[in-house]
Amino acid sequence: MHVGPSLDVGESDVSCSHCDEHLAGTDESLKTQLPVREGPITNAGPTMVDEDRFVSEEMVFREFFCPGCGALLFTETARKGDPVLEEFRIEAE
Amino acid sequence: MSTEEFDPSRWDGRDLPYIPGEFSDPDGVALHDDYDADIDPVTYEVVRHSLWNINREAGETIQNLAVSPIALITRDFQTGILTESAEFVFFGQYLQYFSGTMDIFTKWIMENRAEDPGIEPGDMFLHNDPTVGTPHQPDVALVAPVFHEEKVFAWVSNLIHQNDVGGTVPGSFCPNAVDTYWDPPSIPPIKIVEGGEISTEKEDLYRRQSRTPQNLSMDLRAGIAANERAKGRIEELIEKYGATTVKGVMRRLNDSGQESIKETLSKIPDGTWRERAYQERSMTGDDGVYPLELTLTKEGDELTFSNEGTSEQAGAINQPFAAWRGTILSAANVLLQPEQMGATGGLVRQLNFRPEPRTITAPDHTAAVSPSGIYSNQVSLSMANSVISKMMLSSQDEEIRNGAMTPTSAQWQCHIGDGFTDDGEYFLAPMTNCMMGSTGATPKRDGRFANGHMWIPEARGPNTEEYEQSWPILYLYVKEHGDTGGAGERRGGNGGKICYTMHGGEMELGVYTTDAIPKTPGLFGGYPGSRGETVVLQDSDVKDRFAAGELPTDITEIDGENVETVGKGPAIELDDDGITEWWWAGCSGYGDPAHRDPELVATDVRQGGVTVETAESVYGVVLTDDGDVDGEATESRREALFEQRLDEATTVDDIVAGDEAVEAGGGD
Amino acid sequence: MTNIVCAVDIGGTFTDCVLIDEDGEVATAKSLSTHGEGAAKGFFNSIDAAAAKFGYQDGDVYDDLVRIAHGTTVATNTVVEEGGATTGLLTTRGFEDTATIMRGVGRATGEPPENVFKIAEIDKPQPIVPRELTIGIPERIDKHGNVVVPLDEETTRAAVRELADAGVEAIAITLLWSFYNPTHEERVKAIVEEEAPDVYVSVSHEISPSLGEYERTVATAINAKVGPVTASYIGSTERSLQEEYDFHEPFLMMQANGGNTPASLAAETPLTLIGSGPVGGLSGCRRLIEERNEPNIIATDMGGTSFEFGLIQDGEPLVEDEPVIQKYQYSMPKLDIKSIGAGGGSIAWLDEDSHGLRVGPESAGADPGPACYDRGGTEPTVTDANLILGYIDPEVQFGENMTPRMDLARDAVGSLGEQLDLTVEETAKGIFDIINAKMANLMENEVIGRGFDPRDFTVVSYGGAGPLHAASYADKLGIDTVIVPGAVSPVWSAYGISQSDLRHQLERQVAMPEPFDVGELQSLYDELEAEGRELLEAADVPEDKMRFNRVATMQFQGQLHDLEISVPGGELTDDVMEDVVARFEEQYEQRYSATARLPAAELEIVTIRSEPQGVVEKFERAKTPLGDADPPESARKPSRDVFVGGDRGTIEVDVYDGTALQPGNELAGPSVIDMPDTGIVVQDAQRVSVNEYHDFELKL
Repeated sequence: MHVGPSLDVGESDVSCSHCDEHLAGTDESLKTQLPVREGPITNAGPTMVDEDRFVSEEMVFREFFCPGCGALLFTETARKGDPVLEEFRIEAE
Repeated sequence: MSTEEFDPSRWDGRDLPYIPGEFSDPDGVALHDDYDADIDPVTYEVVRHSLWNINREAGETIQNLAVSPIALITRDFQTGILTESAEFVFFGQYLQYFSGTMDIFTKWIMENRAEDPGIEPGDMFLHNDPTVGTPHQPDVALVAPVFHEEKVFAWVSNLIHQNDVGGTVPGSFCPNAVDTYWDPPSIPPIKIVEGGEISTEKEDLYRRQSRTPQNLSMDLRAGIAANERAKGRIEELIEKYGATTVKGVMRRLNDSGQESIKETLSKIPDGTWRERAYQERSMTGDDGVYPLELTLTKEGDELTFSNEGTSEQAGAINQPFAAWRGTILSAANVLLQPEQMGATGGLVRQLNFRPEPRTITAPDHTAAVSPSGIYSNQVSLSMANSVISKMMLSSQDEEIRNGAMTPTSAQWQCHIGDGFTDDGEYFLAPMTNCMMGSTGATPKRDGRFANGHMWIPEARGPNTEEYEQSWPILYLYVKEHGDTGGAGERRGGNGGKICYTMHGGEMELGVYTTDAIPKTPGLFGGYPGSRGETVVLQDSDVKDRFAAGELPTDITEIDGENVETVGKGPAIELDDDGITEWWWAGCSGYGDPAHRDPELVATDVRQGGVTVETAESVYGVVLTDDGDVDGEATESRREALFEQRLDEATTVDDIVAGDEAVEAGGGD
Repeated sequence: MTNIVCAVDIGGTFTDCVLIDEDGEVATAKSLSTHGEGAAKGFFNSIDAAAAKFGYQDGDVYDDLVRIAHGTTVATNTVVEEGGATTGLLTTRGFEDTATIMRGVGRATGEPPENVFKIAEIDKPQPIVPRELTIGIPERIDKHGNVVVPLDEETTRAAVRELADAGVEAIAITLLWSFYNPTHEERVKAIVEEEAPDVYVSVSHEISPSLGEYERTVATAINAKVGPVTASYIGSTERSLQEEYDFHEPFLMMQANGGNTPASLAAETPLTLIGSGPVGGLSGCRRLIEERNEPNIIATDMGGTSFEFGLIQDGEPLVEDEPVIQKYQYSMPKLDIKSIGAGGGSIAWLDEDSHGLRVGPESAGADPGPACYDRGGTEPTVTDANLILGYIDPEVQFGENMTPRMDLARDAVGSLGEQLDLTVEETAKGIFDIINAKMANLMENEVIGRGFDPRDFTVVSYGGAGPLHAASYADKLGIDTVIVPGAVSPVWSAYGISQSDLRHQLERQVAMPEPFDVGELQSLYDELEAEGRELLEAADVPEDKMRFNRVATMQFQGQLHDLEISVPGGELTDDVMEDVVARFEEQYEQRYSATARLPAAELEIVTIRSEPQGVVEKFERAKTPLGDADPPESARKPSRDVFVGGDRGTIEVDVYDGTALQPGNELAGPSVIDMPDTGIVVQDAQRVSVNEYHDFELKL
């Protein structure tokens, strides 16, 4: 099954549709298995701003990549240290 | 979790928000539920179209008679026709999240008002109580029964956003509200019209709360006229085709809507889709961060929505349950069944809502909710947009996939000022330039700047001349704000920015929008949508610049005393030379920006949608001096980008404490 | 030697000409439209063809013409089909995005209701002026008309040169608040004329002097886009008339406001011609009102793809203020003609979820057309249904040598019927009933929505498909009379153009709250009327033919929607204004109920308008005395099977040749009258009579 622009979900594993790289098993939380780059939220776009003036907690911007080709598969904004959000889990047909 | 029994008995609209349980014949009111099951296709279509037309006519009546500027320009109102048991028949093309409220409060009225004071022909109820079911107090609802042979045959209803219904801040969005007692008063359903006559004493009580009472009276009459029109037309329809035929059409419309949504859902695999966003600063002076979560579980032909993981209710960033439900219905209605033209009843049957009580998205009656239209409703819309789109993108059906859109902006940026004109007239100025809006990307198409909003299909922004005519301000610019749409293989629509200065009169900005945390999630590698900002310069040199024949096109070209703003900050009185710029945000992106067609990026740069810097750093596209794609340079730039990503990456375990690596409601 | 009025109406396919002489004799002709460079050829051909029927030859008819009134879709088509001239836009710096922002509502504007929720699918239109040809210039005027930033002439000059270098053929100028203080726009226009004398210039305060920079920009830009082509067409036609035919009487153009205007003025504001296509028909109905002394008419025109209708209430057609073209909205009074996708080509389909039958808004158009056209269309359409039901003569010839194929119609409708468990005839009848209900709903919404009672109206029906359906949709609204124009029916629109007066609208935004300053209003009306007088004098309208109607648009403060109230001529006094207020309140309550009015609400006058008119000479259509009630034998055609549904199913009905029926003839339903391009279906218990003008009157 094709999910979004970059993922193929099979019976037992999820792979990258750009390079066929195996990403995770379907029983695993996909994003936890991916290389991730974490940086300040100003990485999320040119008009973003340092949150320091606004809130007392540190926020981060995370990018999750395909280990095979470096395609950007997910982004998320999180409070520093917060768990990675599991975005979906589907039952293969 | 959808298999768990959900017990709605505590959710009675008194302490916790009202969630109707199994709805059968309530005491004290007789419902007309006879219907023809066998209606020929032609009569069906004729009556169906007439019902749709009646609802539209009610909406036009409001547009013609109402005076609330937010309601009129942004189409922040709604009309609906409901069955005798308060199932939707038709719901208008105006503000969509009212859909979460109308059926709920109508049921509440049947359960709580039938015996005392009674529900009779010629009655109409008014309410704005978020715990019974409104998005916030400024949204005032009117609902009237349509009787046939002494039984309630149907209900007609509308909600209109009011200019001001009281509360601590002019305009009734109160970012400084600690709890509901700072908010505008919440009026549970009262019989405002009895036997066709407006109750003067109740109208007086209602008006007394407002800074602009005349507006309330005008809009009250607009709402009454709209309901009266719809009611009269339904009665005519009954006379012409017979009550059981009209009711049969309503039933079949809902049954067919239900079949249609089931059919769509059958083309989507079962699963769970989740989103998380962070609200910031729960009220004036606070600096906290508040996670919100939304989980969509699909099992067979039913969808269940849960807010598990959402923070406890806090400050003024709460959202009434009915509004949370409405934001989800909005996204479902527009994304999953746009061809139904607002026939929502069938869809509602397939959706379950499982809120955790006393959270930001299902607070109890003590919580402040009046600014929900700016903050919490928008975040929930965006999150609902996200989970439903992700679900659609898991389908193997091309049409369903292509109907998915990246999330709409998670805040409703605006300015609301009040003050006096040069002539000493009091004014209230809700500036809704943001309604020019922005739309998200689909797998086949980029989002679009100034394309309205997905949740109000016909909303529009104002003309500069209209606002200048009404208020003592002078605009310097209204324009597209490059780089604010989330980057992606398909990028989100950009937002815009606006700058105005005082021009005679005086004005205090009670509400303005600024935020830091990206809240509009990108999908599958797309970047988030942008944020809002309000820049204020006091004692600026703008008037001198005018005198020198200059017309600055960016606030950075102007000198003045910078007043740094934060979200839900205290009111700011603009001085005579005060000038302010504010932004409305863009939508998020879809897919990896480094996979975007370089030619599209070149066009973006040419048209000002994307800057040269972003083209290179985010999209990995290098342009020649003429603005054309440099093919070779782009290829090597992208290779370097992919390599750099993996070089700089680490593992999830490195950034998150071991056993907390994943936050999942699922795992089952 | 006789006096003749000539009207020519150019449509997409045919150019129609009507000549009416002073005895009311009418000659009509249709010739093929010509396009592009030779657009004027069809114009002259049609006049020659009609003149030949009066016995003229070699252009000698021009000696007898007292005026030529002309309707053309050239301006409309220039926008719709070709995009118009390459246009640049000069606007106030900082507001260059106004035209592309479209107030955020470009996606939804003008979309049929079926599409409004389809956010992911429906898109904004192409920019009306490309962003790269839009230049902001430093200047600013405020709401009082005061100059905040003086016009930077040097920058303006450079901008004009830049646009000229980019090859623009037209320049639109829209500056903020120019309708209160036009000095900057006037100066910019002068600079354009100096720097780029060959470029067509369109200036907002001249084209659409009303509040709202978006709508004003659209009006000005569209005027610029259609300007060069329209001006050149009008100019060359007028030159030919003068030089080749020695014709020096008034040459008028039909405007979307329902009035004619001298051609030379139309060349300057071609925007007023956009949407004038369907207006001619409505003007014809206005004339009908005078003939019949009936004040209220619903004029309906059902063609191949759309159903259009307009209301005439109390003798005056209703006006809309913000028409839409190509999803762009602008401010300009235009006769209010509503349109939905309901025509002979509308496609019937199955809604699988509700298992319901739906019709439209998709249309098979002319190509491939209905299934029975045998041009490759396989989907069932309204025309196929009409053929199956027996409403259309199976032997009829559509256009050139094309006879409909019943077998193809039955195949198309039949396969839809199978899915619905209906017979071919039942399905066809369903299609017929549904399309009628849609048209009836649209009319009901407009008529009742405006506070009128449909039963006070008479329906007039023209256009190819209209008369087949008119009795049904009129009946649904409780209307008891339908008129189908007779002899001039095929060229009804041209006929209407020939009967239209000169008409202008001059407006001032006033935003004046109660209590009204009568002196101020008087002097504003005086100013507008002086302006109007100049326009009429320039068109050689004699004093005794000038009319100056006054209108005030009024609303309760804060509302966005106003009502038009007529204001008496002569001296304004407090008493006169009290009466105006009373009439506003009466209309308001009539339309929205007494409960809807808050007695304490404050009124304001939004705009005042003067409508200068030049009444033109009109020749009455000739009357024929009423003869026998029995139709002549020559009008009888062989009877035909018609499906009426219900218990009776198919029955055999009388069929008449409409062209052979005579004034005075009466006939009863069920019957069918075949006509060259259409037909009239007379249901049970309905009666038709032919009146002295040869029009058909149905009594329902």
